[in-house]
Amino acid sequence: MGKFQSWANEQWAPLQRAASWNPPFYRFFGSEHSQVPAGVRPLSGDESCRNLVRLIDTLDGDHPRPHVFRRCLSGMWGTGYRPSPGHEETFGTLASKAVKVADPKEAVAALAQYSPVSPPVTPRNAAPAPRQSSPTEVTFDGQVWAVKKEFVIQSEMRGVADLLDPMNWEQLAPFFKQTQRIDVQKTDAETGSWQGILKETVAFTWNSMTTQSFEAYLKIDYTVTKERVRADYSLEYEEGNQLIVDDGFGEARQVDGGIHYIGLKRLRFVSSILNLVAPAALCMFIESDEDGFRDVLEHKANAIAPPVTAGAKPITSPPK
Amino acid sequence: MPPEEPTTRSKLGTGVAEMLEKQRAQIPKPLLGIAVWNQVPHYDGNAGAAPAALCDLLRDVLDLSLDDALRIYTDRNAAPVVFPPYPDQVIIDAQYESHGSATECEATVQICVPAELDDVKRLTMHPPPWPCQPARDFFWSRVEAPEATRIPQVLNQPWSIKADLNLPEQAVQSVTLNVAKLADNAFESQLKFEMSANRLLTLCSGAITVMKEEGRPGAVRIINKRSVQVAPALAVDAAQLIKYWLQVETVCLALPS
Repeated sequence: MGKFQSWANEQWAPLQRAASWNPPFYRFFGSEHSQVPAGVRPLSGDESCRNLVRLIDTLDGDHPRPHVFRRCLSGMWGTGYRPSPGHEETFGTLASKAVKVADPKEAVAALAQYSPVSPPVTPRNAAPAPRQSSPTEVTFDGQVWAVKKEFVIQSEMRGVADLLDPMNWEQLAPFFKQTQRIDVQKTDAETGSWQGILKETVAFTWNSMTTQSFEAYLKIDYTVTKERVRADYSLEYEEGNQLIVDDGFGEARQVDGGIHYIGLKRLRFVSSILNLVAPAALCMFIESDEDGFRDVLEHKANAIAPPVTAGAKPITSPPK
Repeated sequence: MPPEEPTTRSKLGTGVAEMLEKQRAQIPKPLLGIAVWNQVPHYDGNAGAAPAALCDLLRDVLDLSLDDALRIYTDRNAAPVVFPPYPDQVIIDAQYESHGSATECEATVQICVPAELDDVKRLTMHPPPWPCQPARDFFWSRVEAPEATRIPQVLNQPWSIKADLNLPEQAVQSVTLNVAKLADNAFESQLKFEMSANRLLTLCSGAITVMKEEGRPGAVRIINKRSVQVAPALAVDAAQLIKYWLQVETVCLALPS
């Protein structure tokens, strides 16, 4: 197994960022989005597929982040995307790779069970499967949007704690271009806890034309104990004065059967246009964090699902 | 009980304000702020009856005119203002909840302030420990805490404190407190106590939690919870007593003068 790919400064990260914006956007705005300014509208589903194909072609013929990849495709399908005739085969092949099912039609059907919009149907009288991830909660207090996500990861605390360290956030999601500690007020060498300032460069690639970057300086309190780890953060300032509120926390607790994670993020942009899409962007952000944890930890545990079985077609670039 | 005559109320208010004015040098500023603040609602709709001494104290301690103080106090769109708006202190958030009767009451005050957990823990965890430490000389006197080395370092292991309880307008009452540490880690610490039944309080227990505030590096939340059952000898309203007690104790922890 090769070295794990970090998102930071990767050339293919913008391709994933742009594709990842499609599902949450349509989840919130549906097809009636004519009042949303074009600058923050996502790629079409077909364009998103082409992005993903380019990404995979750039690498070793497989997506390096299985959970990110699967959520993206299942989200597109769940929010109503149906490939145009020229993209059906491409979408089927992508789906095969995403859910590790050889038959493209079966793979596309299987995507539904991963979609946050259309959860799997439990047969009548069947016991519900243990829930590994709660629905994403979005709230608005009249000023600030907040998003919360809880999930359980089968992992050791050590690995989760490393990823929760704000300095390592750039490994979690394609939106992090850089997370760098620039000031330390307090450290504990024994536990790894620290307090200080983090410079975080985050980029949203809304579509093929628009990428928006934020250089935020965050006050950090990263606390590590044996059973519980938490990273608290709040905005000090943002270089371009584009953010009013950006705070939250990620917390991991040791529970029976793994690690229980809670993430909460509160955000308010200066721009009213960005505040319009903030709930969708927040969902994308926090759900990508979940995928990031799963991808990195599974990769490190060498426990990635078996490769695609015989019959899956190699991916090829679709017609332009 | 018949409504209080405005003249009586005015005389009482003047007396309280003059007493506070005389003793202001001996009262820590956060406590003086609470005492002054608690006088404000008595003049809602009758600002003209407010004694000059109260207006002077409001201006000196809270940097407010009576009109501004009344406006803040009675703003129906805002949550109840638990603590006064101190001009030189930051209170991020504060809440007060209570339920009960005139003889029994349970209440919780919460306050979130910019502070380091270790600094606040020092006030709660070191002898003489909470609840005696912060409100000492106001609700407590002659606290006999064990030496630090005799305080158990394990959780849920109680230890005893002998202290004198000093409730308003009552003779000093000796009591024993059983205190136990429920949690102590890098995120939070928690203590509980139970007071021996006595002439004034047939029941009194409580718990205090100090914790790092989620999503706010550099902020601490203090949650102070208490239950009391007043004895017939203590002719005060349990709800009023517990509110003032918790206000004083919590503000001393959160905003050390």
